[in-house]
Amino acid sequence: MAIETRSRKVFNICNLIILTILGIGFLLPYVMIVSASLTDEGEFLAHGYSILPRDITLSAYIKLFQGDLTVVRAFFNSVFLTVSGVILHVGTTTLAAYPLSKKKLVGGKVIMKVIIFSMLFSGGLIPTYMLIVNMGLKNSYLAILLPAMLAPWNCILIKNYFTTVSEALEEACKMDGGNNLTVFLRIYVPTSKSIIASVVLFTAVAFWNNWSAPILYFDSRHSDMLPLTAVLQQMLQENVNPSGGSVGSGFAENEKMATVVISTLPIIIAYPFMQKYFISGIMLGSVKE
Amino acid sequence: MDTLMEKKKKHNKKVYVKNNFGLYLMLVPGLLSMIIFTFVPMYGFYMAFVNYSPSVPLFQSEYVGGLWFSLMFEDPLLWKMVRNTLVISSMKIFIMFPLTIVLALLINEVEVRLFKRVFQSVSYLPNFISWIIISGMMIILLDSDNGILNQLILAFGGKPVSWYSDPSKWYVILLLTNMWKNIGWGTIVYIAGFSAIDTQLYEAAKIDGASRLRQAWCITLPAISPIISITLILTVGKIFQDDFEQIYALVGENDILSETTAVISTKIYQYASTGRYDQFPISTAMGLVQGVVSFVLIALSNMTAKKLGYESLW
Repeated sequence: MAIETRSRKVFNICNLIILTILGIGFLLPYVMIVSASLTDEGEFLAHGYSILPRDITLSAYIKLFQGDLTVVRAFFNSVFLTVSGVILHVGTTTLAAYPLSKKKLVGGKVIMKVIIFSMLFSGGLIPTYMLIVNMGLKNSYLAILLPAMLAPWNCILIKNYFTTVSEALEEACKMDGGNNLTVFLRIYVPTSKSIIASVVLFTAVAFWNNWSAPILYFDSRHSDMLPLTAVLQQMLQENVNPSGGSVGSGFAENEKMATVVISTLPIIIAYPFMQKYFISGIMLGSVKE
Repeated sequence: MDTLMEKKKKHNKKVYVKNNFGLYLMLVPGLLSMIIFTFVPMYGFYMAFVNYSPSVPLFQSEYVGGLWFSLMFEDPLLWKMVRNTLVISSMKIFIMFPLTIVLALLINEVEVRLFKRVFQSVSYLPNFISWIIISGMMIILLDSDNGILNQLILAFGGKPVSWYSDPSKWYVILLLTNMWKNIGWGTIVYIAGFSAIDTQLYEAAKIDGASRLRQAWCITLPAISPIISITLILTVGKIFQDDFEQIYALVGENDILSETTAVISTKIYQYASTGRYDQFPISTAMGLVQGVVSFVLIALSNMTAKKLGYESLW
């Protein structure tokens, strides 16, 4: 027994050491971007990047907020896209999840199959791109907001949650003369706050992080419409493609890294709130009856 | 009798639809968006069968049959892209998949509550971080003149590596960055499985003098083996899908690295964003073949999961 507890102690300590090292590995990249954004340009040219900043200066941030305001504008574009995207997509998805949660819904199974099919197979990038161009949606935020309003995975999560809502409540509301929409708004949405909250957060993160569609659909004359991560993608091009002859972005390295930090910040701020919801939300969603 | 019953059923259905018309209206916005932007574009697959030029409407273009498909299979670029996709997916299956289970087991063994919670939070966070931000982090590490890795290599007397022009390093870089972003999140399903295990089993094992390793091997692992198999089946099903976001964010249009980083989705994106109309038909053909093959594989893997009695998508 004594040997057992001793080996157990040794194991526990080793385990904690391994996980601590891994945890540092998970955290270090954030420290690196913050350090790089706080490093003075001259210092950077002399010594390169460092894990911890040698000298702290806010000059990169000040420049971003005083210069041509590309980054500030992009930040507000991102906020606009994220807010309108969340309202449209979560609204549509939740609305669709309600009828699909009804077992008796005629045709419900077929519709569910179509939704799952759409998740696995689509028209492909070039045909979709051509359609957007033909519809006159190029250089419009609608090109990003209108497609895929019904998010299959989120829809399944909400639908599964809806099936657990008590039918007695629903009957009572219907007795009082409520129709489907009032039942949905008065009973289902309030009792499913936690799962809807996690879908809101997932959707918000997806919109905040969306850069490939904006870059594809906005041409160079409309680059002032780009959201933050898209602007960042273009800033970093010359770094990841050093010999590709790509045009320099005109941003110093510390300004680029300050932009990286600015685009990470909202996610980090929202993360504790997300955590509260996503674990319970995902578990509930995946545990089907 | 039978027909009467059927008639009645049909009638009941009609009544249901009539009485619950509102329910169907609620589906309209979502389905409309899906039909217009996911299903309508499928007409564009016709582009893979014609001689396309932007000045001629698609359906008036000259029909060339399977020409692009036969050209595509002769194109060495296609085979390079297929190889890269398969190598990257295999690394996920053979290296990342087992390591995720190991990590979940290690997390499960932590007895200090606070440590466990903090570690979980820290390891889930990268799942929400954009690949573009990770690209910024990688530049700090990998930049050939100023990067931290080369500074370290120099400090230890080694020869600096030009990471962004050496394709041989990129399979590993792609694997490691993928692990940083996704391994923590991947442990969630297993940890959920652990919480369902009856703690009495461990008590009994302890009384019998079973060591920690033995408990993990004989109780924990078998208990989560259904989760392991379904995750494995679904991961294998995705073998033909490439990770556009990751690769395009990390290397962009860097052609020097294409030997190990070129995949079909990034190539197609590159053609679309630069308006290379001459390349549209052949890349549409490539996208179509990839889409069909991945769809069949995913459908097969889901059916397998269902046959084995697990939850599946349908």
